[in-house]
Amino acid sequence: MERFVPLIETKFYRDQHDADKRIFELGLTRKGLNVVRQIARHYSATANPFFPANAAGTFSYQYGTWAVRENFVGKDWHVDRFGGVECIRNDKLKIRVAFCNVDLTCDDENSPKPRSEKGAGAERATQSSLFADIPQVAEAPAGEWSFYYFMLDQDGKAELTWPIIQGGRFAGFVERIYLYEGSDDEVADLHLDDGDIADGFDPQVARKS
Amino acid sequence: MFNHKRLSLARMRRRLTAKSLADSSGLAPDTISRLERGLNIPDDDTVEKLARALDFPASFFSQPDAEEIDTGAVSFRSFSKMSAKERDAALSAGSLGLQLSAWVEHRFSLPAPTLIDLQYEPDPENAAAALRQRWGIGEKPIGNLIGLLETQGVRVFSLSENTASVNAFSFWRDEKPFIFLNNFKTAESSNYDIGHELGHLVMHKHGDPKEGRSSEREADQFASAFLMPRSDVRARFPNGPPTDFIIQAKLRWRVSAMAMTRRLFDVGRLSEWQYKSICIELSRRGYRSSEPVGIARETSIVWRKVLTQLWAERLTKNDIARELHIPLDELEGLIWNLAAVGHSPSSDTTTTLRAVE
Repeated sequence: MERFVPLIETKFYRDQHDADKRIFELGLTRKGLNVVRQIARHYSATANPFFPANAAGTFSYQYGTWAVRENFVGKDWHVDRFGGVECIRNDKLKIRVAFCNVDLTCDDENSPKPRSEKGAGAERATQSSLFADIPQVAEAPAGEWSFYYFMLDQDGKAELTWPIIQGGRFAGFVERIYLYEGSDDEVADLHLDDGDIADGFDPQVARKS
Repeated sequence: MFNHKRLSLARMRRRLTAKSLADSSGLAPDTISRLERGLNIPDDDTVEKLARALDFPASFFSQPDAEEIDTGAVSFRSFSKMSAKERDAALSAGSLGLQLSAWVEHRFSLPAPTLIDLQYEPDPENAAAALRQRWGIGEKPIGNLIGLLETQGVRVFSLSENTASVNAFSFWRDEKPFIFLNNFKTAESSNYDIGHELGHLVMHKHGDPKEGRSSEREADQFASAFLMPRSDVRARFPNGPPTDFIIQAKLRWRVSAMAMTRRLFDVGRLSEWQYKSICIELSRRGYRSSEPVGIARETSIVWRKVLTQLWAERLTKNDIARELHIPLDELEGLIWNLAAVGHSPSSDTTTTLRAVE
């Protein structure tokens, strides 16, 4: 008998206001997520050539996971290892959040790919079945739990995303919340070049007769 | 009449020991020693040998005493990292700079100093704010620090020491503030050095600048606050800015990424953890020892005006060096990187571009 799986369009949160609203709904904070990013970036940067070749990614994962727990575990969030995936769990909102390194984030045209293959546990955790493989569209998750990944790429950009994992890779995305794009637009928002500078000094020098 | 103090000055300037000067001049070490102590009067042939070995004009050694700079009255950054040879060479350059300054001020009126005495102000942050208020620049970033200081009567000279261990030094002489600035480092580092020396000039005018590390710390805090005013920085940065923001933003205040990061920590825009992690990131990107995204080096407006006027009178740098009895390279070392003008009147011709067919 043929099986029909409903597909849903990926929901993007690119605008900071929308993203913040969604982050709040998920029981998280932008500030806390930013600290996760900073910590993972920092420890990734401590890897030098004397470390094994994969040290930067390993450090990022280890300390990123630690930082997710350090920042959010408390009243509503608990440490969880659902299906062997190191994460945190919010029983009230029925959400899990884990950390992962990806190749690219915050890019509509290119979907993030995990820098290490995801296992069967992760596949189960994200409520995947076997069929979804269409960009910007994902299978409607079957269960009542949602599973988000804090995704950090090598340039330091980050998004909070609910992927569908299939065969060790991201087969589609239910939600993508852009956290930190590191774009030039954000630098411009600092109003650094408004011309309000003390300049044009003209020390008076006169020839004596 | 041979002036033995000038022999010591020239030797120190060339970073030579008495022994190495003896070797290069073909004179006995004892002869050098006795000449420097004023125990012997050299004949013309000996003076010529010394002049050749030191590459100073022979007439340099028959001039009156040069104004000496007392090491105790001078503030050196990184004093502990500097060898005695480097320190003496820099101070000798300072002594020649005073000669040049006197020569210029005999011929030109320069801005009168407007610095205020802030030695009783214990907080460098307040001292920096008071000086900014006195100079009427509010909280704005400073587009041309050398131009500002020159307008306010500070005499700025260049040092060509080719070593990073000599940053800058400053002192007061005849109620005039002097800053000697080594241009060996990045433009951002030079700006910070200027701010640091300015801190010494206003906060430690009558003290011994070497009396403790606290005065160096105060001068650093003054530089940071003077170059990057608290309110302006806080108004333009969010909390916890990422490294890339800082690298962009530091261009506004014309400081190094490291100095900007430290300031963000001091004004509460970075936590201690964030501060440390950004420092590590900046080091990884090469910002510890250089400034990959940097600013143009500042130049002196006073020296440009003076040289332009002298050239209009057909007086070249060669003529000035001759009148001062100093080598041309020493004169250029004192003004070269500050003036950033290298044309003599004779080469100042107009070139027309034509299309090549």
